[in-house]
Amino acid sequence: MAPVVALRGEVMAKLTSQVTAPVEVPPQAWRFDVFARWPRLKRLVQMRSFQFLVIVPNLLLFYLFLIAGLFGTPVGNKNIIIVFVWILWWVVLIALMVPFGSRVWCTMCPLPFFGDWLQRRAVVKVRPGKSPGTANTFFGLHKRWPKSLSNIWLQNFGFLLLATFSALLVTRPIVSAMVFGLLILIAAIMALVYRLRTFCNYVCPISGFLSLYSMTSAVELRSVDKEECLKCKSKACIRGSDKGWACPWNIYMGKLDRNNYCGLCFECVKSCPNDNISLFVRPFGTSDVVLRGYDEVWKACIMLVLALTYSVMLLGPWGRFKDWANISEAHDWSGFGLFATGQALLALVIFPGLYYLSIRLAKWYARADAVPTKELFLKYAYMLVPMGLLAWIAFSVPLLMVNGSYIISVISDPLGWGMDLFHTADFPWKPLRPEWVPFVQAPILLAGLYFGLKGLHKVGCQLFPDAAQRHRSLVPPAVLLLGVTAVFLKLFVG
Amino acid sequence: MSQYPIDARRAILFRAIQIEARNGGVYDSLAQLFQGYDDSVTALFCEMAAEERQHGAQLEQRYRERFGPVPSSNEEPKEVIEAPDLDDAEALVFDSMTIEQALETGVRTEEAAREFYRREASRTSDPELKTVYQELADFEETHVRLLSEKLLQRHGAGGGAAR
Amino acid sequence: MAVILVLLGLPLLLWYWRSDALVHRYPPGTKIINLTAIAHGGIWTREEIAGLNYWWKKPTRATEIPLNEGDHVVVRLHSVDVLHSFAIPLLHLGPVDVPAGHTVEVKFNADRPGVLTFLCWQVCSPDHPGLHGRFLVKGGEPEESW
Repeated sequence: MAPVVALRGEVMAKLTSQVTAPVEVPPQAWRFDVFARWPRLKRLVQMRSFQFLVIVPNLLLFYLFLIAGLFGTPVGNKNIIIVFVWILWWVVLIALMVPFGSRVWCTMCPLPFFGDWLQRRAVVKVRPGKSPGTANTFFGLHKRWPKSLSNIWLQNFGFLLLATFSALLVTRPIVSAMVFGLLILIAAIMALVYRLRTFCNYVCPISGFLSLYSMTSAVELRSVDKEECLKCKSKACIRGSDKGWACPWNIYMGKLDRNNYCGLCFECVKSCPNDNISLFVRPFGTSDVVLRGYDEVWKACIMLVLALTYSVMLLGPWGRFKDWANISEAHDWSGFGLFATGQALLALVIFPGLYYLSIRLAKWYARADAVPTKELFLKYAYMLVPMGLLAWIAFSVPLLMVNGSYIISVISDPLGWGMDLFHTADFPWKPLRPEWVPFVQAPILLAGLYFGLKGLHKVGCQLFPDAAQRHRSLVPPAVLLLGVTAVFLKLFVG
Repeated sequence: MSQYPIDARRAILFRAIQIEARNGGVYDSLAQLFQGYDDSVTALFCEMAAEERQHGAQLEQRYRERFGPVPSSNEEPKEVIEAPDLDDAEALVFDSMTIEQALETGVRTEEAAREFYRREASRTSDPELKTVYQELADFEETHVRLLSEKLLQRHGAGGGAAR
Repeated sequence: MAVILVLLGLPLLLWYWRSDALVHRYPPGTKIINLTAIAHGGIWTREEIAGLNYWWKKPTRATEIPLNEGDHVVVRLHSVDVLHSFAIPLLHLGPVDVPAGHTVEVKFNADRPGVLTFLCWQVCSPDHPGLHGRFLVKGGEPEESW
């Protein structure tokens, strides 16, 4: 082929940038291609049965949990649904899966299993064909989720609602069983009415905070060569093909530059005709730094505030707050009202207001009139993401240290019926080194501060080429972050 | 007498045919993608796909006139110029695409192609090659004008919303 | 198919354990009595108290439990809320702790006819005085009562 036809890299890059308008992606420090290093792992996720194999054990476990929640003992620490979900799974999710695996929980989550099954009429195989927007055959009404709700506001309020009743949710087996049962039912119904995994994208409360905190994760699924995506005719990653289902999350891999809404189902790895998608390891905390909408900013605020209120309510020494939250037994409705209103106000109004104030101060102090307030508000909010994640980890790890021994006893008697399957039913409650808890929490919080400030600085570099102006703009939000850290430290360490 | 072998001119024209065919396929995929989101966007992409195919047919006609039958090839063009693409990975998660955005995608794509061919036309000293590139650039120019007019009409009628 | 089998099989397995396997742990003819203590209301009940019904069901109080003279009795004690205890003073049985969520077994032989009062020995709630009941062992006139 004539050399004149071959394009040089810089020409292609220029034209590519003219053809497309890539979202700002800060250059990454390093990236390690996991699939290139371990091709067997790639072959594993390319197996059609891969998702089935990882989802089904969780499905069966959740089934056991639902049975235990309904028919097992109402005593929380002797019922597997409470111990395994709110002690074991929660800690593993927030402290290990999210930071090191992004949304890997979504890879194996059983909640949408029945919905997918009904929608695809298949568990393993693919159905090529034509349904609206895809190259697969789906069943159901294929309705599009309303545009006004195509954001994470529902998830924000949903999670806040669950958090309001968290004292019941995390201690009463029946409440947990009802919530998870309801989520499975809603997911199934939505799969028959709406397209793809609408439930996961817009409704699931777990998905809401996973979308935010996966930004910090040390792994990402991305296209290897963006030009291959440009040249790709089929766009099979998002449309599907005879090799893989259309992306259940409606993500186009050719432009994907952040983890938020990629559920790591690996369908795109199966369907990509150019073998152009891989899993990468990357630095923790400061790779995806772009928040795109107010819904995401409010999510960051809500989660940070909830880390605080959960810590006060569940770990703190103030019995009054516990009674306020424990509405089903204490019956203190005025106290509950105060708690619920206070938490909602703090999460939705007060803390976002403080953050907004810090942004206004940043603009004033840096004389940054050229930068719109909205842009600064959205972009600097990233600092709340690693801070929030690590605050949640600081809250959660001691949960496991103090209550982890319940796991040993509940394995032998999952329903609290008096079984003793593995002869550990009478294992006593033994907190693990409770005196170490502050020494575990403090470094985690300081790490959150570090990554928050680092992310803030990275975003600042993108906005302000002038170093002096940049540093002035960083001061007020950094002070806010320091204040948040100080509050948590005071609460955890004293 | 051209200092470039006839193969070079044949290759350029053939490559342009392949690009039109490839991009027709891409526009088809984009059209299908937006089914159920915005019918006007789907219709526009279908129209663009048809335009690309028409372009391809015209280029094939020129190829036949100059070089004989058009060879069949399954090889995809390596170039990324004039490759229409979505701007945003999460477009369908939050917004769909407005028809203005679809038109802007088309305009950018055709402009990039036009600039590429113009640049190559200005670089080459071979008159026949220059002619080929100029023709291709003119092709893309008509496309740019067509889409720009449509975009202006839309802007006059009121634009779409982003998240 | 395997998934469906497990989805159907798990409840069946649990039901089997509850109704059949449990019985075979004891000598034939053993009378197994399940007693659950509930602090709110001060109730010993023979009804199944689980997550599904704990919050809204008003269980029937087990005031009198009939036994036959000569019965070998296993009482499986459960607590669904706080620490209770169980004692049958006439038999010098207990008090044994019944921690929340645990199942504790006590065994005795109903050797003679009469009334055996059982009660909670641990102050568990304001309704603690209500946590008592009686085993009525049939056969002849009652020799002793509380």
